[in-house]
Amino acid sequence: MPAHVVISLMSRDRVGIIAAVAKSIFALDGTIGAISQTVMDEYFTILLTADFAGDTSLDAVRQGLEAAGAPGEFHVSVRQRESVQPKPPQARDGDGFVLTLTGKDRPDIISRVSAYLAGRAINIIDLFAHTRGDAFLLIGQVVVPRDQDIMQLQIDLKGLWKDYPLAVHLQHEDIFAATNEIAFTHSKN
Amino acid sequence: MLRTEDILRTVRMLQEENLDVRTVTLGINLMDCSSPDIDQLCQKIERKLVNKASRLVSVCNDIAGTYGIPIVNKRIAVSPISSVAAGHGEEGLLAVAATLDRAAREVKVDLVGGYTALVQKGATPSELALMRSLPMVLSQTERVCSSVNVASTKAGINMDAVKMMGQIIRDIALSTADRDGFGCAKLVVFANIPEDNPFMAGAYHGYGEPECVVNIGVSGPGVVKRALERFIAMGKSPDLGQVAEEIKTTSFRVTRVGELIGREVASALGVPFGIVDLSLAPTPKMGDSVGEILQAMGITVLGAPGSTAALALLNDAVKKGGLFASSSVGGMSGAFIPVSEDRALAHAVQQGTLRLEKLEAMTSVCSVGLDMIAIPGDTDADTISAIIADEAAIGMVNNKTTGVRLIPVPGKKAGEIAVFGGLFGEAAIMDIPTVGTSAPFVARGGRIPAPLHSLNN
Repeated sequence: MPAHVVISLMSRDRVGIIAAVAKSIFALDGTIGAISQTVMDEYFTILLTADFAGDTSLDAVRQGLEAAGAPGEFHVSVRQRESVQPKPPQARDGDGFVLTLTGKDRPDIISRVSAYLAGRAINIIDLFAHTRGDAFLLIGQVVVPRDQDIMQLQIDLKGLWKDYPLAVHLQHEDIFAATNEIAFTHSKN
Repeated sequence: MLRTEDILRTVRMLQEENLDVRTVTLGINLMDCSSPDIDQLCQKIERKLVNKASRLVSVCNDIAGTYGIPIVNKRIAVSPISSVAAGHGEEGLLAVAATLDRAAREVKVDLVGGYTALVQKGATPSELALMRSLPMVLSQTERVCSSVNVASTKAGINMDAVKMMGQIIRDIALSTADRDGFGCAKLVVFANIPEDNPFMAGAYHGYGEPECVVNIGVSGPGVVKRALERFIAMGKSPDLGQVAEEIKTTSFRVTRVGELIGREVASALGVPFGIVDLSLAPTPKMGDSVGEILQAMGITVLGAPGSTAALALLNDAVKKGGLFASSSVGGMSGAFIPVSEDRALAHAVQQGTLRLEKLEAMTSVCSVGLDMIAIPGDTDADTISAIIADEAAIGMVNNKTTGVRLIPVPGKKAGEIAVFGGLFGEAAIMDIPTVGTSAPFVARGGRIPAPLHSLNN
């Protein structure tokens, strides 16, 4: 029975990590399904799914990947995936919005904004945050339930840090698509 | 996948740079309201306008809230009233104008356009009556806007109508003398009037339009100016080709916002989406000025040599960006230079660097014409007509829309200030050096024939 696994790997960044990982998986008779990879502050992270033929164990996959780097270079975690059947696409129960926070850094930004969003049943589906010096930037894609009052959310979010130099904006994702993508698509009219 | 910089640029455009949708204009056909009975005609018009437009303002407000983009004006444009009310004479036209005003107030739109006559080749009795009624209509109504098309590339210039409009503009100014002749701000005299223009005072619902349609006027001089300033501040000194490219990119984004909002409004109202007019329409607010864009390009004194070339670059780049952004571009689509509504232009007029002759030259490369220009109250009718004729000639020969919105300010002379208020702003009254010398030409009347290139079949 084939092994369906999800793998995470972290290391200091250098040229050739993906090549080494892919070669190792291929050598174990595996096939990569999907990859999400990024480099943040000189650290490389990759999350990928793969299927392995035969009775390849999770330990064998982990050891094979660790061996693809220098000793101690790759930190690897491998888990069995519960299901490999793709789910039919589900309609989101809400509209997509983009949340941006820009301004002066402070320790409570992410905890406070994420707590507020969770309290309003707003799901974060993608999040990027970056600090440079004392400048902070957060960009999040969120799904806002249709029964929420957008203008009230915008007021509440701006009120999270009163009198502090942090600009908070919540804008419909269609605006970003319209102003940045070459083709204009609109579901209505 | 959007880049971080793309997201931040869009946020900046919306939050910091005065990007708004300047107008959502609902075009409504009134031709089916015609009736031999004037009371019935007025009832049908009022019923139809309220029926079609009652949700316009609330829908716009909801969508503006959802997207976080202000929709500054909500307006209505109707079929040319000279046709809708044909046969009812001046008295009937006044009743229709009062009805339009009442309906506009009821549905809470700030202006209603379409008190219009199309007389480029000749005028019908109804069109003549409409023109004659303008001093009363524009002084007695609050929200009614009017337009008269006196010329086109196909028909030439109807100089009889041009002569008539000179006197009518003077009469409108006198009838609204207590407001510095403000009635004239609600009238545009056009060449090549567009049927789908959403901007006032010149909007009307053309004969080729559907029963109802949503047209959008986007704005964004502030966005263009800031984009340009940021680009220049990046260190390198961009050449004008690079400046044009930056304006084009910005115009693309601005137009897209307009189309997005327009389609949302149209969908919510259940009517077709018409066009995005991608004109750069300034307001008297600091930072929302076409003149300031020219200054950012390097025209330190507006009206100085180079101003026309800079405006031509701006106008062209705006069109190119907008046309790539949307397949539904229409209306006037160019940079406006309404003097009183543009802080930098108004200042240049006050300083004497921007004069009527230069403005006329500039209108040959932009949209829309000699717009919101205050002139001395004692300017004779023939001089006003001759200015209209000159501007119409530019439109006719260059196959483009030109308009004239001159405001003689009763009791005031060149150099004094006329105050119109709100989005209409204020301006120094402009000197006309050769005033009083155009009568022999204007008095000839007749029609200036259409240019050679009008015969293009």
